[in-house]
Amino acid sequence: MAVRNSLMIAVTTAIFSTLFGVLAARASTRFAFPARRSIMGFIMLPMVLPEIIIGVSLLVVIIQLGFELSLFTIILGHILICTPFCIAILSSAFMNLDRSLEEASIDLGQTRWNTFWMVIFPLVMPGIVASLLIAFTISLDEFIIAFFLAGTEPTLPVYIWGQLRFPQKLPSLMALGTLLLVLSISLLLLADYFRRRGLKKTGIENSGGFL
Amino acid sequence: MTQPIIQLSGVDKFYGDFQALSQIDLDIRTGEFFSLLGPSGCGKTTLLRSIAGFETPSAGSLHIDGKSMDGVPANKRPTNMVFQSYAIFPHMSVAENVAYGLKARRLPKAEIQERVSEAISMVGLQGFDSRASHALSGGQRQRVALARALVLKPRVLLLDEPLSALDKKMREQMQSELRRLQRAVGITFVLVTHDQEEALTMSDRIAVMFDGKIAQVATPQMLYGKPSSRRVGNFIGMMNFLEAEVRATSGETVEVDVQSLGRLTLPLSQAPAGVDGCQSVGIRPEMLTILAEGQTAEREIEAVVSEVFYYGDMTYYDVTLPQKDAPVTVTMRNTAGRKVLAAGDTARVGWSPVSLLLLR
Repeated sequence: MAVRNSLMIAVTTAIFSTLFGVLAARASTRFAFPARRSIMGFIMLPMVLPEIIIGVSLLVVIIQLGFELSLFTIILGHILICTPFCIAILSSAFMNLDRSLEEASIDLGQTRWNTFWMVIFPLVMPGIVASLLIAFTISLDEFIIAFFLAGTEPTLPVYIWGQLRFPQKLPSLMALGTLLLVLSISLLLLADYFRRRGLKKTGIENSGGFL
Repeated sequence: MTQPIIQLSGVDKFYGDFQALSQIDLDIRTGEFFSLLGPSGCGKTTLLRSIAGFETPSAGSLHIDGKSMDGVPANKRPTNMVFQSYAIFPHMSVAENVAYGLKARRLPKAEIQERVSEAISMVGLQGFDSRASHALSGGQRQRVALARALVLKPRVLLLDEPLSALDKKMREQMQSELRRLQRAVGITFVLVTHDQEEALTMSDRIAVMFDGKIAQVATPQMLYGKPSSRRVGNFIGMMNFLEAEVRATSGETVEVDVQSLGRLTLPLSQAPAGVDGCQSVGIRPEMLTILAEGQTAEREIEAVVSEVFYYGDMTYYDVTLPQKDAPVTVTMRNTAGRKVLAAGDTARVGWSPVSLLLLR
């Protein structure tokens, strides 16, 4: 039950955060618009705010608005904290893109729409995959926000925490935790592999990275 | 004269307060190799990008092939561009890159294949069709960029500093190859460059630009031989300048007092139209000669050698003329038996009034 909830939340969160990430990264790296820095700073804010504050304030807002707590509210909270990470990953993918590639495509007679799908998208694809995987991992492991915003259906970490009250269940919980840990680490490794492959594709030396 | 393929009139371009182009009037003829030459920041790239459709002029009109380009986006213009970075699509092979524009035009597969292999062999990349583009050298990328643009048979090919990323040898090779290619396809080439040598060797005509304005449009020989201003003369090759004062004009000649050289009568063909405001005469270093013992020239002047630069085939001398502080440069070919002078030596410098140019 909790596993299914967690997976559903993680997949939905990954897709939407990455989608928002693509839009924001594209806009912030390519176009100049008024107050670009402050808008981007505001979007990135959840990355540095303590999660417990985000969790409590979201709970207050959602209840004030009269929403029922459900899987949907957890997804909203998770999108809020995952999107900054997605933007950070995708910005570097978009920034590494040589602008004249786009111009060349248009110059060769292609439309803007097709240029995005035939030139930009394939080149930032590894970044998108990395972003999906990281958002998925963050959402899967996240506890505090899920704890505050969960209604009757808990996520896996919330379920584990709940079961900790029963000492006789400790061994199976330990096993579950180990599984979660292994899954997270392998997803992160996979994400970094895609990020590196993306850099290689655009012909840029790998510098830094988080692994 | 053939009808101009590109006509610009009164083109301005502003970026905020900064004026990148100012009142550009220019006709580029069908089938010619035309260069836009100028120091960086002179507006030449902005002008090229306006023709391509990546920049919209703030004022003025642009016609290509007699049609106004107002509101015509870059992908609908009969121009193609070779970018400074080449902009080869890194996720596609050589053949896929070259086929890109043809696919955008939805041509039948067989025709695409035929034209792609034709274009690839035209630029000398046979056998590289399926090579991944990140495995190419700089020169090869350049060729792919050329093939990718030329395969579309544009009316005009625009080249944005295409040779600046290549090393010297490769650059010289590509210069002659570009020239050959242009003659073979007969397409009008418009080249942007800051390298005057490149412009002189490749172009039919050159437009020299400074500060967003066109200073002179001429053939390479005219540009070098009769620059329209001191600034152009100084930018194209080397030129010595002497202060001059116009004394009188009469019919075909102008009388000037020239620093170090004295009063001279020059034909009006060696002066710009309307001589007022001319304050210097220019002379190319190779038009001056260091006279050997017993050698004579039409006119001679005593000078002191202040610096010697030995280049092997040539020697460049900086010599100080009487009544002039800044030295003038004299270049001499090192022929057999000619003695190379040393700094401090006195020399007789030979010159001739026909190689002087009155300049504004």
